[in-house]
Amino acid sequence: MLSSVYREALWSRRGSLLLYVIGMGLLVGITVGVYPTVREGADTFTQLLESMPQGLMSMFGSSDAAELLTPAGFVNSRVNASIGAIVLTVFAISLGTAAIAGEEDRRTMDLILATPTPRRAIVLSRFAAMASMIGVVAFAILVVMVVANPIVDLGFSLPNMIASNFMLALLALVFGSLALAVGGLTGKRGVTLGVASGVTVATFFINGLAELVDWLQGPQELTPFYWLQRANPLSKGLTIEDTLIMLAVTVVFVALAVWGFERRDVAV
Amino acid sequence: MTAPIFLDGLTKFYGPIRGIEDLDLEIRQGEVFGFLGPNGAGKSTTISTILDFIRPTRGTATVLGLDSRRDSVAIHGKIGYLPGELAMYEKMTGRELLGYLSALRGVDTSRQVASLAERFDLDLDRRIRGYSSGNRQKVGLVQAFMHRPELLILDEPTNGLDPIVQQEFYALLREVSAEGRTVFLSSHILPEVERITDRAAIIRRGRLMVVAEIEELKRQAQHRLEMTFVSPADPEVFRALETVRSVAAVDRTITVTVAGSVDPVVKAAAAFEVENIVSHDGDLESAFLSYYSEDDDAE
Repeated sequence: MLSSVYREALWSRRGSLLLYVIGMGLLVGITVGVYPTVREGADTFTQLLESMPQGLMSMFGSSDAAELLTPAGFVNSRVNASIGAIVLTVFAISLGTAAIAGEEDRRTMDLILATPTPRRAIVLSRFAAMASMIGVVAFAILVVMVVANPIVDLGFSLPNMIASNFMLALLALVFGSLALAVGGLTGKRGVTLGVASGVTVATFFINGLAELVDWLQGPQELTPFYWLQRANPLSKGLTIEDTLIMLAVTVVFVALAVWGFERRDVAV
Repeated sequence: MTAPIFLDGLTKFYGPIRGIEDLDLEIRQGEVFGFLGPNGAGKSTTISTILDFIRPTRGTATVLGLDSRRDSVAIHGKIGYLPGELAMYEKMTGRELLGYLSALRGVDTSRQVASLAERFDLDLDRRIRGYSSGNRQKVGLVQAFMHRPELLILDEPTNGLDPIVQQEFYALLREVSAEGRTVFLSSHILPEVERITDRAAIIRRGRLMVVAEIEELKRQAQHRLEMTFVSPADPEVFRALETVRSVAAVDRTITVTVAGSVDPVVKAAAAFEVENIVSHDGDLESAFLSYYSEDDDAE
């Protein structure tokens, strides 16, 4: 019965999954595709970047112009540190919200709960489905990178590309699991979407602005975006510490989701 | 033999607001039991608590000998449930939804589904969002019956069904009951409960007002007789009768409410020249209304 919930969760989202795969594939493809132009005009871009406020640059994952113009720095700035991470996180939050709170909002939860399916199994199956779908999108990005790597002469190693997309997926999974947790605890779709998106936006800006604002440097260390930025997997490969932190946070959120959903009244 | 449903002081408060309070009820195996009450009386709250969707503030519900909290998953394996506010996955076809719910139950229901769909004249290959409300309700009924559960808990089962399908549904209930399986159904439609159930409970504002055999409820029920005379009759004659509860006289028509036997009223009426007598039958609606009015002062 666990696998039925899992399969249904995947099947019902096949359309949006395909859109995210295409969208993220295009995003990364275009990013990598314009890199030769950036490389050729490096001097101009360096000047341009140096004239930009530091905070704005740090929003792209690095405040160092030279670093931003390396292949790793450039791709990282577009994919892991900004739009790529945000888009994948939005997908994760939509899945995490739909998993419990969305189902209660549509009043269909009682149909499932009236079958011999433990509440815990519903949460865990939907989590597994969310992780799988994020994994599929991350894998699509990896494929685009692997194909483009020799063509554009990016010089990424395969382990680093795998590490980068694995950690990007983990970042999205952290926020998706947050949505799952809020949904498990409250069962309210609006609250769940609000809290998960709010935390995403807040942590994104805390991380970005910490370069400029001293007092944000403490909180910055608590943001998943910082963990990914610090790990810089496209250059450094998989960092165990940051991977474990993100995994641990995810586990805590999933545990909260199960605990919350098992103990409360369900909206039917 | 364990009762299919046994409620012991079952109580649910939503904060300070009473959902249901101190429900004591025992359903017998193989009966069709009606759970009657107006909207908002606590019927769905009771059902949701029995099924462990919501948790009781105090008291317990025992279903097929199992505790509703501790053994909820095992209970769900043995029951069929039709929600009162039926919401379904709009993008699925009827067949897909039933397949999904069967998979969750881990049983092959394809034969039952085919036979029920035929009985209800339901096309399973259309998307739920394209179904009329009657067809949606049919899908809901099929999923409740398809795995041949020991106990059926049906919240307002005939909502939106056309009369022909209703007949088919009533027949299905009789079959289920004849097989020794039990049906607990809620309704606010009184003639329906009167017709298809063996016993009924009346719930009002979260409290059980009465639990009785349908025949007993009918006996207790008030009858209303509307008598028209050729020339005005004396209402005091009727007021004096023991079983008469109220008398109203307008022109040549006297309307009396009777609890119990109407015989003395008819005999008294015979003293006058009667033009017409209309009997508003002793249906549950009247029984129902009498339970309402009795309690109104207490609230």
